[in-house]
Amino acid sequence: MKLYTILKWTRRVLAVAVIALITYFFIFSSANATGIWAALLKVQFIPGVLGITTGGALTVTVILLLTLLFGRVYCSMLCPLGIYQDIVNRIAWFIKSRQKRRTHYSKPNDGIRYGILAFVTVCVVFGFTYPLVWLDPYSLFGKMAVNLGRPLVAGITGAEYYTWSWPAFAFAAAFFTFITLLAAFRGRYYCNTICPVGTLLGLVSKISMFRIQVNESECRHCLLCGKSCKSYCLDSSGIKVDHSRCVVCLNCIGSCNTKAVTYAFAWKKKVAIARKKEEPTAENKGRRAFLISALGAGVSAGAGVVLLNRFKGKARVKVGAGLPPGAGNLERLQDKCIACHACVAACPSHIIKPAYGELGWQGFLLPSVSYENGFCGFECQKCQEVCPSGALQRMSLEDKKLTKLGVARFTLENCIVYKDGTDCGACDEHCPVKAVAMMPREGSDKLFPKVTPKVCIGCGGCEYICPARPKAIVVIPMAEQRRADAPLIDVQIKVDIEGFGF
Amino acid sequence: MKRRNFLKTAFLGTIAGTVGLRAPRLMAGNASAEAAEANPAALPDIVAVMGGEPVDLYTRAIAEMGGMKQYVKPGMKVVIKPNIGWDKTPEYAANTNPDLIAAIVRDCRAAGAAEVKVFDHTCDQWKGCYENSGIQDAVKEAGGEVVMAHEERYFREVSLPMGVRMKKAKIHEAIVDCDVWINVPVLKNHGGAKMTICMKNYLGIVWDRRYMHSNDLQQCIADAATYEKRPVLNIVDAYRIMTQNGPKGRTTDDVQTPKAIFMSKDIVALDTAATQFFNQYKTMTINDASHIVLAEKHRLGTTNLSSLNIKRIRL
Repeated sequence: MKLYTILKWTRRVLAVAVIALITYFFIFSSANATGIWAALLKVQFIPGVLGITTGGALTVTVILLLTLLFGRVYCSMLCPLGIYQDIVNRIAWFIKSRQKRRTHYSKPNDGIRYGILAFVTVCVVFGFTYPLVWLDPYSLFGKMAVNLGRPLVAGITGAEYYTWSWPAFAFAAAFFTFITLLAAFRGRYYCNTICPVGTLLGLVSKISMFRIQVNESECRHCLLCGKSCKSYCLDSSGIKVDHSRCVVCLNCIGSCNTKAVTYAFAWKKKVAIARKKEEPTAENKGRRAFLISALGAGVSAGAGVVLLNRFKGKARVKVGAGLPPGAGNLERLQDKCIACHACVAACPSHIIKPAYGELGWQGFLLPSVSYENGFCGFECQKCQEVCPSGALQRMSLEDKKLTKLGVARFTLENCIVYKDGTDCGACDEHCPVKAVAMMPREGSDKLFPKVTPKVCIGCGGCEYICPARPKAIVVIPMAEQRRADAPLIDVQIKVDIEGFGF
Repeated sequence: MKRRNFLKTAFLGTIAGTVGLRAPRLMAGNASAEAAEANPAALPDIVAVMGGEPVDLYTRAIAEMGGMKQYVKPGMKVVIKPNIGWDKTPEYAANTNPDLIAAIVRDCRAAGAAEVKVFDHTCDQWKGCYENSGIQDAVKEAGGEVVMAHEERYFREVSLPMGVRMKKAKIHEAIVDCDVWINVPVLKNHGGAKMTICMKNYLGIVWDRRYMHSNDLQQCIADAATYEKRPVLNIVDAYRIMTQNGPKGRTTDDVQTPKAIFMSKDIVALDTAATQFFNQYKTMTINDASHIVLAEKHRLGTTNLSSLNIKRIRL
């Protein structure tokens, strides 16, 4: 009993620490978002799967191994959405009457969960990851924290909030309401019915080395354990534990008066269980047919969406906003990004925002770049540092300084120097590569901006600072990031002067 | 008799009270007058020192200017305003030299300043500027305080009655609330204003630089410099200067290293002198950087250097 108490409290402490650090990162750590916070984003399952070639393989292997050994510990101690639901559920437990606190065993929604898993698997295997934007638990938590938490904190502290986006807020608010109510009244329902990660890990945890077990000789079938199970997966009347849904919270062990429920080594019993299930009953047959049809539906839906996407993808892409540096191109971003909005939170210049129409329908909520609040820092790679899935590819600073997000376009008629005949030069001042330079022009003694498009990296410094309305210089975003030409060489002989000149 | 005495006292009291209340504000402008009184052998109008490391240059120049105690009295709230506009390290000459800023902070502290604040409304993202310029660390180590200036809430509206194109501006609260401030720009060329020296450094105490750029930049710079609380001292960092691709610069090819420093209370005269110094590297006149001429029209100082007592020193 003592051991279980220790284990349970270990789980609670770790879980609270993880969610606190992740939330802190998402809400507060703009501009100093590195170190442990960024590291916690890198141990998430789906980002690991998508970034399998860029270091994600280790994450995925470790999580699968942990699940194989101890069950779904990822779901209870690493997944921020899972931890959030536990916290909500616990708070609701305090509020609820004694009767309402009780849970009970319920049948798994196998059709839905395996259907979704099949659908997502087909999509991901064929490189269409957009459904994960709506389903991946970690990124859903990120979307909530960034689009609800940050404006809330900004409102309280009176700081300015730059990356406001109505659609993202609406999405986050709707999901927040949904998941909070669900967690309060149905425990881990999302994790065991909708979440593809939960379902996948559930398949592994069915055969995990350590599992919750009910000792038949000790059990009095009092149902107490089932009443404390937030996964609704424990039934002591017929002694059934659905290990695929168990997130090893260990609540059941504490509730048992006869010490019949244990969390113990389970591999030695495997053979016996397998034998028991061999006789096919009519019920089993029907269930199998139902499962197969659910899987089929999922697979064909996935295939359909993938094909639709392939077909549509051939059209030439035009974007209404740029992509964060390292995204490569729109297709790659759509394939790798799950819109966790870590980059939105980390960008110190507040130029990364959730897109709603700029990147097409499959770009909804993906990070897009616009320059109303700032411009891309020449020396900055924060977005690449925090991106957990490798969607924003980490590169050397030298490469990043040549990564072209768009190209500046100058409109003389709008320019202050042309309209008012007065000096300005704000664009030239901000250009880090001198793709915009002030040049003399015939018929005027003033200097005018001149753009060298090949050198321009589309950082948006010129657009951001241009004081003219409408802007005289704007960055035309590109759906495909290229390498800009190196800035022109501008060597100057070092001079030694003798006098002061005055 | 009684009644007359009473009225007299009340009248004088009112004056005394008013002056007393306004004392900190007057002090900023009057420090130089006090200095002249304290030191009958008039101090030079401009001190220029060349040929040394930033701290040595500063130490010599401030001694020639009568020492920091002339400008900062015990208990005063002091602001030092360097140029920290860009996310660049010191060798690019995009920002004021951090060693110089540290030396000034220490000197103000030694003169008895109650607090020394340093800030700039940066162009690049502020954190990168404060850190990579080396100024944040230098100031903290020297006993000063770096304050933020990246949001509008740190700025307060003041009127500029002398302004031609800019009649009011939002100025950083540290400047509005301080007793004295010291203007410490770095000498650079500028694509728009042509030169960025002392007066162009005012863009970093103003919130809305877009307004200035779009309403006759040169005039707005001169207008900003009419703000009633003038710097008690202007110090031009010309240890490293930027002679091309300014004010941000690209590589160290844009930099020359004359190892000099210039100081004056007269902001127009100092900008004029620094422009003439710069002209030795790249052709430049105060007519190009016309905010200097416009500021003279505002009677902020003189461009006629021959009328001034200039002390030129080579270390």
